[in-house]
Amino acid sequence: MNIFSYVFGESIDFVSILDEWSLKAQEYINTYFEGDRENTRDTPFWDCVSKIQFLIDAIEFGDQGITINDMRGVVDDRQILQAIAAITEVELEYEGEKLRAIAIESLTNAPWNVIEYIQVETRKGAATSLVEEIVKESQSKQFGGVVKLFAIPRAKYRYNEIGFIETDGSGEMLLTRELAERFLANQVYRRSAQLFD
Amino acid sequence: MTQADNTPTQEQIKMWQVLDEIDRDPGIGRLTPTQQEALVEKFFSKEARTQRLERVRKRKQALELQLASVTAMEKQLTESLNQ
Repeated sequence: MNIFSYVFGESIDFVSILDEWSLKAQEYINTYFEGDRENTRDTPFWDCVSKIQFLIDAIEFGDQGITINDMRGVVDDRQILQAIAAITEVELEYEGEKLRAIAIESLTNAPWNVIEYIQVETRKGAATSLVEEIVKESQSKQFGGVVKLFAIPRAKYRYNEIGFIETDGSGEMLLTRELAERFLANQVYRRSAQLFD
Repeated sequence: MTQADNTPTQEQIKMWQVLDEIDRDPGIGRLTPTQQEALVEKFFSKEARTQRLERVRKRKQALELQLASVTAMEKQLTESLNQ
């Protein structure tokens, strides 16, 4: 499995990279989707395009309560950004207990990781590695690894399978302290066992 | 986990398949389909492309200033060595 490094805030120029992703996305639509964005509707690529715009607007105009300091990402061994997320710190209540947690407000892969055609930039494992690093950040902030996210309907069962618990049917899912440990241990084992991508 | 020989269990293999699915399609975010539609529309709009172009021009300008500064340093060092 590929190895990634965690990057955050102003340590990397997220907006310029999102601009580069935008150009790549446009190029892929022309090459692989017959130049028609309608052909990407309801695909992971459609999600990616909408989130690139969402994150650029959030950073540039600050209209989502997200600042550059809330941005997180993973870069590969060539320092190419492979996945990006916006996070916030939240307080929540679960089973009568008040918890502090990191909420993943939005997360997307780089465009080359969500198309079927392998590109030179393609790197498997970026999105889960980014979630893994966010869980570790939650631990380092003494939140016990607790992470909250909103999963779109088609993705809910996947997060459920890896340990996230659906809280209220809205798509909000929570990784508890105990299940965070299990998720991290599984990632370590997956990395050691899947030597090749 | 009981993998003394490092052989994954069926349960682990299944979990890895799910993790692979997440890597292909993370599906995290609270955007509604309507919001997504509007964002995709904006992504391709002239307004968004103009904003991208402005940011690229600013980057280019900053790099040109940096290049000018490095070129001046090079010139100064070359001259001092030739004296």
